[in-house]
Amino acid sequence: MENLIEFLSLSDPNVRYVVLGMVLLGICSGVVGSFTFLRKRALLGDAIAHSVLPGVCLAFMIGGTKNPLFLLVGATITGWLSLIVIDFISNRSRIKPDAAIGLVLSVFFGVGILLLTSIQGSGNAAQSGLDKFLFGKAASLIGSDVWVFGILCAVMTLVVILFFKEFKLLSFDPDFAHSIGLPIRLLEIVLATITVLTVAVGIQAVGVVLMSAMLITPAAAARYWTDKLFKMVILAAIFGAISGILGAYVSYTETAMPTGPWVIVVLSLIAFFSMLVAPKRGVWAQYVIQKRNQNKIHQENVLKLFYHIAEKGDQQFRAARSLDELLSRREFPTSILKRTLTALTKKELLDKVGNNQWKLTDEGEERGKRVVRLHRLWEVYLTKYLRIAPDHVHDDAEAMEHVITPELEAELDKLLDYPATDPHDSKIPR
Amino acid sequence: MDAFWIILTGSLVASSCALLGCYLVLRKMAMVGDAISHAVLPGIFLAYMLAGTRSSVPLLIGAAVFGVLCTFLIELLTKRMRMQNDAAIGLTFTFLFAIGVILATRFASYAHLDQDCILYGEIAYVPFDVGWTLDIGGAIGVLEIPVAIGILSALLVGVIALIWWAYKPLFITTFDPAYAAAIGISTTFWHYVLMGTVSLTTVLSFESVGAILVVAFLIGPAATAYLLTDRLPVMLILAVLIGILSAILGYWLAVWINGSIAGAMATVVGGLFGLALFFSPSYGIIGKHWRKAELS
Amino acid sequence: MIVNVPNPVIEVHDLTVIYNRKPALWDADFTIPKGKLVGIVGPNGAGKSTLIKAIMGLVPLSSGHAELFGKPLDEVRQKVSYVPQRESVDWDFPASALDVVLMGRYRHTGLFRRISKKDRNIAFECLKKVRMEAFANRQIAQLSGGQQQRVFLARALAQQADIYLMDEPFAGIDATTESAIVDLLFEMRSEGKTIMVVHHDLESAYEYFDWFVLLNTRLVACGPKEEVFTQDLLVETYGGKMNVLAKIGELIRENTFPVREDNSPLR
Repeated sequence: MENLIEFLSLSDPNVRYVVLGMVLLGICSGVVGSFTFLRKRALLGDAIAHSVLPGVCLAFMIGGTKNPLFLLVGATITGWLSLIVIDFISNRSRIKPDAAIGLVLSVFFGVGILLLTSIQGSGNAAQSGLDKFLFGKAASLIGSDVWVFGILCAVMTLVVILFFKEFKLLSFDPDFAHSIGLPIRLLEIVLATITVLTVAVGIQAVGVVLMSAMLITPAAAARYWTDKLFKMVILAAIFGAISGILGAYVSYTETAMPTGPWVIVVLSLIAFFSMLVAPKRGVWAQYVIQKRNQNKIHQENVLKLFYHIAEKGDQQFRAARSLDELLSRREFPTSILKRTLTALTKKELLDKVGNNQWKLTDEGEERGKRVVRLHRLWEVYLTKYLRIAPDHVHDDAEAMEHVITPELEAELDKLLDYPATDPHDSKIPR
Repeated sequence: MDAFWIILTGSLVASSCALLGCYLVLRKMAMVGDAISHAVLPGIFLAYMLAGTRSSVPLLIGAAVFGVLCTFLIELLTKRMRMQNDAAIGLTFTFLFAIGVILATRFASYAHLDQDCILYGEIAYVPFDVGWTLDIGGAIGVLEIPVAIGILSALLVGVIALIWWAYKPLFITTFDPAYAAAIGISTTFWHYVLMGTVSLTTVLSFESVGAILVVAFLIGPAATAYLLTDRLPVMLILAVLIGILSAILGYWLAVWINGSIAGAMATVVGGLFGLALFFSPSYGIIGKHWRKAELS
Repeated sequence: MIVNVPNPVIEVHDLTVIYNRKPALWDADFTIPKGKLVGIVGPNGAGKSTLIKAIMGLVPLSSGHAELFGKPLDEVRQKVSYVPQRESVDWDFPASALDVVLMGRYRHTGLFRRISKKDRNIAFECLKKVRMEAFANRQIAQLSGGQQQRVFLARALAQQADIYLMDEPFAGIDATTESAIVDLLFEMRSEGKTIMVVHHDLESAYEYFDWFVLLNTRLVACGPKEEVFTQDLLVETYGGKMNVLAKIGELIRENTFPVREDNSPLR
């Protein structure tokens, strides 16, 4: 608890830099990542991240300094180069994009490692610290790093705001974007440049491999919550920021816990959580919908059953029926039937009379009648319009009677010219 | 002698990877190979922590389960969660890798496996871990065979045996999965057989060459061979030769500029691919250009 | 107009397929007699390919089933041959024409045995039948579209099956190949094989086939060409969308409703 308060107060300047740095990086990569994600180029981030290393090493070898700006230029150049090489290989040879990406990232990285170890082997004292580009050292972020992150974030936000509409078109429908005369090539270059910049900067904090997660995972998680690009970008940025804070917190409380990997673990957990609980697309939401459908089917089947018993027998639509009588007319697992009867009674579609007897209420009768009507209407439709033989339509209608909405019912009725009977000459109740 | 063992280790890894890589490249699953090679990290760590040694083969085989888990997760995310494939790959392997790095940092002292080793391996130390000695007499005398050589040879034999035995199902499920399914061959089964073998290869190669060189060896030689031939058997053999050549040239490059051996081997892989990309007689860019010029 | 026949070799019962959460095929129910050359005709997206994929068990069925020779597919796979769409594979694959045709023999030799001399001879004979013997060792990427299609047909022939299901074998090929394929189909029919072909071109359809399956998500008609290939039925196949069916599909999709009560919920 003490830890938490101390952490949240940001009184420790080290903590302040780390948290601020990670939040800014999270926002940047969330925003940029949304676009690479939607353009189905998520793995290019991986390639760029690996390809940055030789640039850093070369910049150091040429300049002999660790000036961050200088290294950043080197990183950007090779990051960009990797994109060009991937494009070149997959456009000009029979090698497919996936192999091109994998090849370029591993070879560029191999070259980077070779250069790095060669520099280390040469005994250049100034080299120490270059290897933070491999795994990232979020814990060692300092004031100037945060400035760099801040500036990057500002620039990027500006670019994204300026080109939001264009990027949106580029992500969803590049062909259309081209046809209305947008400068596709230029936009792609702008987008690629901010991606490369984000990767080149972020890699110092989270390392080569995990940087691609910073681009992919927030966007993938956000996608489950919304269909709107704007909301998605905002959400991705928020997810990035939250995981930055939590990752920093874990490594603050536990010694020898690296920040970067924890940020990624938190991000991944957010993504898994989103898959589970997001409205509509989430697993839980899907489960609830299916459960609801299942209940609806059971209830409507029971109401229909009351109607059928009366129709085929005594014509007493409001007569009370016992459990056994219901079970004798339709197969039902007893437990489900009991549960459904209780639910229907609660909804006042059935009245419980005496011991284990139920009868339809006004509304219950109406509903039962409607299910039968929909069933028979659909059978008419199937035979008349889909030319399905009358002895084949029952199963289909058995399911569709629960799906058809009042609007569709009206349309069906009109289309079929208000038929009086179904294909088996049963009366369609009105 | 050390040079020989190092080159042999590199060649053994390169051969196993190159053979499997041919199938990955042809199945357009190169990035899944990349993902697996990163995702096995937590498995390797758990194996080391449980066994306390670096070469407990049964545990390492268990670690390969993480590679299969990675493939399974990717399938789950794509099919059940309807996530786009590239994002599913990226999300899965970075998550598993992050866990691996956390374990590595937290329990580094148990496993004697530090961060650098994860990315680029310790092939230079292979000769020091002697597993068997063999007195062959003569000028060489006692031969000290490193443990890694034993393990990697067994692996290569296994991979070759798999491809020999299952050549037809691998061929048909790679070329035309729909037809394979139509004649009753389970594409899912062979998918997991292949991915399981890739995982095992990755795990066993990891210690010597690290994650990145595994990827380079999986994709590079296969892609290069793909530019040189039109027959699968030839492609498999060529890929192995290219892998071995990369190991040899890479070693000398590393010695020459005094750098990481794994890095140098990956660099050579890239160089050889570049040569094929431009100068391949059948599919090289310059070759194509030439033929076009001749035709006109 | 659905003409049912006694002792059919292909029997499709109430087949419903939901593909990508959209109804691709709704309650198709028909029979095909032995020895007919059957054209599956309908507009784009009518479920033609889905129908033969469903018969081959390549797409999950939401309801219904198909029987071949009165048995489920798994028992008679040897006797059924499938020709996928040409675009469904990557022709850059390092294989020769003969390699591809030999795949048709995999089931006969067993999956783990080497290919025998006899298989090789049969494969070569099949290449001859499609007039491709000169290209046996040619890499498949270097073949023209029509030649690739013929290689696919040769592979199906090598299976020596009795039922052939072909997904658009006439798409994007030259006139020579088309006539070569048609000749071959006629020859196969005279040998008593049953062949179902997904076909696009209405003009040639009447000439090629003697039995038709008219599809537009639902089955419009199925029967001998004289009875089925009529102006009215074709207009019905190609004209007007089934508004109600489209809407119910939409409802099912939105609410992830099951298509049959007892079936597991939709994916």
